[in-house]
Amino acid sequence: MARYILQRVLTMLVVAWVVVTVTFFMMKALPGGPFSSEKKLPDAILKNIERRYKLDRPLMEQYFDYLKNVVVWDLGPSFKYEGRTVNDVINKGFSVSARLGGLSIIISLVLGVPIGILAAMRHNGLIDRTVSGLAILTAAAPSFVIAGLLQYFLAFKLKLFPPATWGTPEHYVLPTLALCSFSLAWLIKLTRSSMLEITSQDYVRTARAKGIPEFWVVFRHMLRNALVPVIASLAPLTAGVLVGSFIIEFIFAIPGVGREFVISITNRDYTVTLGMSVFYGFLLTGFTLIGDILTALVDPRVRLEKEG
Amino acid sequence: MRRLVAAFLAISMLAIVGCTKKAEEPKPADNTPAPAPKKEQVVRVNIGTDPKTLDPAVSTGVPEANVQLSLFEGLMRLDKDGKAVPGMAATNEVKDGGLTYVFKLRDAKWSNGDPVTAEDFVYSWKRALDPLLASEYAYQLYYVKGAEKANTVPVNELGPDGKEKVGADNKPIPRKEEDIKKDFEAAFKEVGVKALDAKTLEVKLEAPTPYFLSLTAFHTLYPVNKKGIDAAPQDWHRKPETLIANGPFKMVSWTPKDKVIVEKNPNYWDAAAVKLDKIEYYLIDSESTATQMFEAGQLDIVESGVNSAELPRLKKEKANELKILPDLGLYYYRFNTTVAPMNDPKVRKALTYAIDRKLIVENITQGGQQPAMSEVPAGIPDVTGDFRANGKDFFTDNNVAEAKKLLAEAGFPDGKGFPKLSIMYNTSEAHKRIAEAIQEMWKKNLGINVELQNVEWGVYLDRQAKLDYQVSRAGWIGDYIDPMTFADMWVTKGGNNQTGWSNAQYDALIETAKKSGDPAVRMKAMHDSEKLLMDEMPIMPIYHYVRVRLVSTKVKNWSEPLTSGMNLRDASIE
Amino acid sequence: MAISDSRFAPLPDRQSAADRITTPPISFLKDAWRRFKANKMALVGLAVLILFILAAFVGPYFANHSYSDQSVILHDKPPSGEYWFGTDALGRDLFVRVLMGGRISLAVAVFAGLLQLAVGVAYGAIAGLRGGKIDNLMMRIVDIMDTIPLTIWVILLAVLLTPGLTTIFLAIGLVYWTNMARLVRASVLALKEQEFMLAARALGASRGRLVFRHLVPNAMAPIIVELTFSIPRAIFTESFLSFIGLGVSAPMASWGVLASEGFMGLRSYPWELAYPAAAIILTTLAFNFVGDGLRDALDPKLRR
Repeated sequence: MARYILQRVLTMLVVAWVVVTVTFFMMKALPGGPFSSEKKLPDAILKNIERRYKLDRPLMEQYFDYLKNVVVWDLGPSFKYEGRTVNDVINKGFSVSARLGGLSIIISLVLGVPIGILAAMRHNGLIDRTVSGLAILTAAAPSFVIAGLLQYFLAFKLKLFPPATWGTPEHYVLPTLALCSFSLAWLIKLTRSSMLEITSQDYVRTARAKGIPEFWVVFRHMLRNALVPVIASLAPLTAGVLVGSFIIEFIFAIPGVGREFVISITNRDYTVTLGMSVFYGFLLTGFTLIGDILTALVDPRVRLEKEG
Repeated sequence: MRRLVAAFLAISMLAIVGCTKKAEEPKPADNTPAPAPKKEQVVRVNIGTDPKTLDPAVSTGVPEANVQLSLFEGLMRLDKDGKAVPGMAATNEVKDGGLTYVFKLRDAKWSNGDPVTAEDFVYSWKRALDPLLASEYAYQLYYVKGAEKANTVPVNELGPDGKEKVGADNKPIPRKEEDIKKDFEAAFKEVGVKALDAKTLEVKLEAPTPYFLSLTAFHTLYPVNKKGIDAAPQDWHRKPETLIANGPFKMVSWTPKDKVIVEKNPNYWDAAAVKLDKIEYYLIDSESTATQMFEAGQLDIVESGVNSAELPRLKKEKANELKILPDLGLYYYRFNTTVAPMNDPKVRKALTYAIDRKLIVENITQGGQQPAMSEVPAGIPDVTGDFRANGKDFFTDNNVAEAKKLLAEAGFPDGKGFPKLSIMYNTSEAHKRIAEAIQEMWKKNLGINVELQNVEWGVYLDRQAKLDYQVSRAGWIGDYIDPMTFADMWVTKGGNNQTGWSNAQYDALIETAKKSGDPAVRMKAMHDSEKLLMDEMPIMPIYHYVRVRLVSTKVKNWSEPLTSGMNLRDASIE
Repeated sequence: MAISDSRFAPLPDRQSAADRITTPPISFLKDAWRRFKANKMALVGLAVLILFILAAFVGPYFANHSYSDQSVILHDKPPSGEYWFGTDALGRDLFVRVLMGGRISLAVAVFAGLLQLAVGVAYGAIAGLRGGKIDNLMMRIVDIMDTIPLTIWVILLAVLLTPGLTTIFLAIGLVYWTNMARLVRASVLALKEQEFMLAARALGASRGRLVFRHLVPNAMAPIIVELTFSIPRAIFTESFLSFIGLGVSAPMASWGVLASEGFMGLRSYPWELAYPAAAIILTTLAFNFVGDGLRDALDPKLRR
């Protein structure tokens, strides 16, 4: 296992490199640059700017320059935000997005998995139908609808929570609710159907036949296997949620990193886009690795290294 | 397995406890009467997006200008009616037929106690012109003698023919920074700005510029403090210790994407007139959120972010707070005059006459915009009266009959044979609606088919500059209060022309207006140029902008004159 | 007393009777359909979907207004006899626009679904089955595709081709199969060690047969769940893309576009958001019920 992990870490680096390279050249291929503006600049001034940010250097030189800096985790200055470094942008933004995202994931897991199990155990009963129905409903509405409605009813009409911005614990509530609505619903559904799958397996029947209380049947025998697909998808879900949702951060005016990412593409703020891509790449591959390891731990039949 | 279960339960309990605890903390009531004798006067303004920089020499946007208005003051400042009145310069003298200005500075101080000197201005303007700083607005200083030459000192190596040399990779070869610095220093000696003594600044211009005094109120010409910049050359403008202010307020903090907070500057020369203790600049992008926050009483002013979809309701329910201020801007479409059939002025005029601007303004934009049957908006003083009022309209709105006639004359009766046209616009709900309406109008009135091309911002700018479009949406806000800010866009090969239109007579008229110091001559030339423009119609004016704001009735004595940001210098809040 | 032999008659052959299959033989698909029909909610869902598809593709021909007819003066009017769903900001009939929008959204949904089934399942199954280095390589490619921002792909596509429905399909195609691939791979990793796989291999089943006849049907549950969740996601992605200008060109619209157009005026004209949002939600619910029914019907273990 240790060797496998090492291999995976190495491939993580390779993935990050591929991501950077592809993103770099794709961004450069897009028309427009960070200093295009509606009021066209006199040529001389444009030249000054390009010189200052080394945008007039040949493409390959810019590329290698950037790579060199990435290796020491110097992601460069932001082109659009004077005086800010990309490292700073990511650090500050991520600490906010991560808190929001982390809380959502925890809530989704803590509520979602037990509820999904419950629904499966009472298959087609009232609880199952209600829960499944609600879960689908929340997942079916686009996030800006949920966020907008939450903001309107709970913050504006009932004045229970602040409608936007960030700062105190109260500011966490609405955005977290909006953010976890989708993942919560999804986890419920996945857990439920996974459990339903397993409930008819032979070993479960045996356990029940042996007279083991249902509670233990579920937790000792079924849960492990049911969680396999859940864990598999948890990895990209977590990475995605941690990096923040553009829509939630936009509507609730939260200084997170999700908004930043999308805007940087429109701004052609190359360094920010690239820096975030690399960062996200590491995050994603890291979580995938953790997910795979957990899967192997949970299900001893899984052998990651073996070729089939 | 048990451990996992236990862990689950533990986490869930903690989470639930944690969450409910947070949800139960009472939200502070909005209108608790303050027990303290004097309530802190704080105004909360939403300016839309995070400033890219607060360095006045480099910034280009409106949110930046708003904050800078509080932190800095130039030689002159704009009063609530938009007139240039003394700022740092207590008096000014105009000599040599408008070519020389002598400013006498008052006894003003920086927020760190240093006196504001003429040398500060020389330093700041030099810095703005420095090619190594690469300021996008350096051209606002080109009115000063020699400034353009200094700013355009070559940064890449030149060949013997004076053109840039290219290296083996076909890219220009950059020069060494020391060389550029040396050339700039030499060139700057010829620039017409000099500190005659600690309190006297002499400025020499390239040509008489009647709006020069207003220009000194523009942020690029603000003074900045050398000490602060030297302490943190990269990000001095982000930190309160190094952003040394000479304006009515100074910086407290700047949390990116969240808030910029400024407080009263006790060292401001007119601190007695400043009643506010603090201004909190919010950076909320979402219009629906900003408007909601205002209505919930959590914002006092929405400078940027009034939800346009809600205007009819706001007009009814918030009539006292909804402010519609005039603006100096034009919303228009560009025609690519190098491509048929837009190369025929008859076609262009037909397209222009065939739309109903009143309908658009009353039903789509709904903000009180003015239909534009001309280029230059109202609000610019003429020799006597207002430029626009004197110039009148150049055609009638929604003149479908005339449009049909012109189209037939151009060879496309009832739109037969007219090629499919495309309107390019950058992504925005507002632009889309207007484009859809115009698409429909051209179809109904002229019988021509139009397709809409929604492109991303960077692509939009790029294609427009390359003339890779047929009809393109555009907008222009004036930089200063003079018709020239609109007129000189359309000169042959002007950087902002981007229509391929070229007319020698037009160029000559603009030249006259620029060179002459006689207001009557200037104004007549600009009226004539506008008439010529509307005769050739390389652009299709649609409406003149207004600025829509939400201001709480509790805020008094605020102002936002043309070309200025939200001025809270004299403001107070109940 | 002697009991004569004639009082004993041999019992009929119970063995054969016991072995006789009393239910008529029925194929897998027929059985699945039978089970599906029994699930009432699934039938409702199917009916709704068929209704929506018909309405979207046929409905506009019977409507009074076209989706692009503007009566700008009548903008933002609430529902009435003339305009069943009210009008939008340019005075267009929202009812017809929602119907037309259905064409785009449903097409996108179906396309995304098919893509996931075709590409995602196969990719994930192969990766899981092969394991080891190949699995590693394939999943790293998945990681890369996931990391590169969708927006960049789409802008690039929009620049190279003209923006419109093609670019959306291409963009979704590039990116949408990854989740399914991950899911299937995980399931396969677990399934491939089970006895039935060993048995099938021992019987000489080819790799393809292993994947499609054995692994996939047993992994049906998570596949279907993922499908039913990914369809609304595809609709949202499409509306996000249209929102940043990379979708169908006006005046065409999809449900996502209509919903984001309506969102801004939520407080003044709630119907402009309500109807398209309801369409999205109802469609998603329908897909979900159908999905549940399918899963119950197709799961070989639930076969009776």
